[in-house]
Amino acid sequence: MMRFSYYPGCSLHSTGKEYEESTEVVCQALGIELVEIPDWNCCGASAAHSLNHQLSIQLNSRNLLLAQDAGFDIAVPCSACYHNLKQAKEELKSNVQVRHLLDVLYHEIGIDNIRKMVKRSLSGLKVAPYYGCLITRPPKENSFDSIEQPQSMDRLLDACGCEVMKWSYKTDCCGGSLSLSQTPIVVNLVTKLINMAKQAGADCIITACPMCQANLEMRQDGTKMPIFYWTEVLGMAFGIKEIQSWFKKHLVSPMNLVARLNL
Amino acid sequence: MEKDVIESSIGKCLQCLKCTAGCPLASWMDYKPNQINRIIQMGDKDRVLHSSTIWLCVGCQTCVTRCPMKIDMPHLMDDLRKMALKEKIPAKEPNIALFHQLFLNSVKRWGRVHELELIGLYKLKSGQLFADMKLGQEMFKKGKLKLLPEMAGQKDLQQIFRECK
Repeated sequence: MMRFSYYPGCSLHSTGKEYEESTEVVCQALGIELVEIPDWNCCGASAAHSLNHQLSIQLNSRNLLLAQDAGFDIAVPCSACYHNLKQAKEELKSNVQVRHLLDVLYHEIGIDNIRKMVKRSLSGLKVAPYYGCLITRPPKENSFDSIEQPQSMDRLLDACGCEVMKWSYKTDCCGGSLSLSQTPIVVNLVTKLINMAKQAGADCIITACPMCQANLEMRQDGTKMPIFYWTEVLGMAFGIKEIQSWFKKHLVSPMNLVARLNL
Repeated sequence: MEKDVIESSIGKCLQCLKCTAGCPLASWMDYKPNQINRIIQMGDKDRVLHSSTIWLCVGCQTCVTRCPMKIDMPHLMDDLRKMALKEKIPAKEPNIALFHQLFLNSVKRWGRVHELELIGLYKLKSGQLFADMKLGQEMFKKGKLKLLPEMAGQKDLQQIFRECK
């Protein structure tokens, strides 16, 4: 049993509920114990560092201290929280390791063990893996994946039997926090991502960030491309029953795609 | 600190345009990221503080990732916004500034952001009352927007916000 301090972040308790649920189930299946950091606070998202860099560091300093008390490294499924916690960790030289959940599954569990868990190969599911901005950037010595051409999610999805499409937009920005305050810009950026994924032959996009997932679902223009969390895809491949309840929460229903492929 | 960042790092900018070429928001900015550096080099900080650029930057980190001189532009943008606020310069993109401020108010009040309240207040204060109505209803129906906030770290957070004024 592997144990991590778990930092869900605000989105996983609300707009990204299905990310939290699929994260917990998949980690349990893989023998990863996630112990939620007691009384964790918001990481400040884009807002804190945008208006007051020090505030962002201090907000995350509290979370790092709470994790330090618990004595385990932190696993974070949300890329924005991951980025903020990591920035604070580096500026404060904290001893707690901050790891994206993708990193944990890819490096600690490993592709071979993931493959062993697959009960239902997802062959026929053509996916565009989308990492977004903050998983690999900014580059640090301890970056867990290639900065411009990350592969970890590609390989996990491949292990699940998906047909992983090659495309050049896996780390392009979705518009992040501008979704409400500058909607037309986010529609423009998201529509480009959707069109490029489609052009690459993908039926859906796979994300590892609740902000990207929400923007891609809400702001695509004239299309209905399903956007999955990577943990949901793993859940599908592991034959986990709860998948239906996750998919019901999506704003773009993936039901037709899932039914068409008999998944 | 803020002055340091500007003097030590912006001086290194070679105007290679790597930052601007990769910036997802560059098309909407009044000054491109490389131009921001150049204007600062020329000493016209005021023009930068009045720009839309500092507000449109989402901190995606593409520029600093590709900069051959490793200039931390996203951090610079953080500092420039802070300076603009301190000097009470009206944000060229007021809705972006408003959204950030309301987000932080929510974190200060509850410890975790309360999306429903944030969206409601943003709509009221920005005047965009009817934008995304259907979307909001659907999210609420699917349980993605909670009625009640989650509370955390109350005492500590009050102190952090006081210290980081």
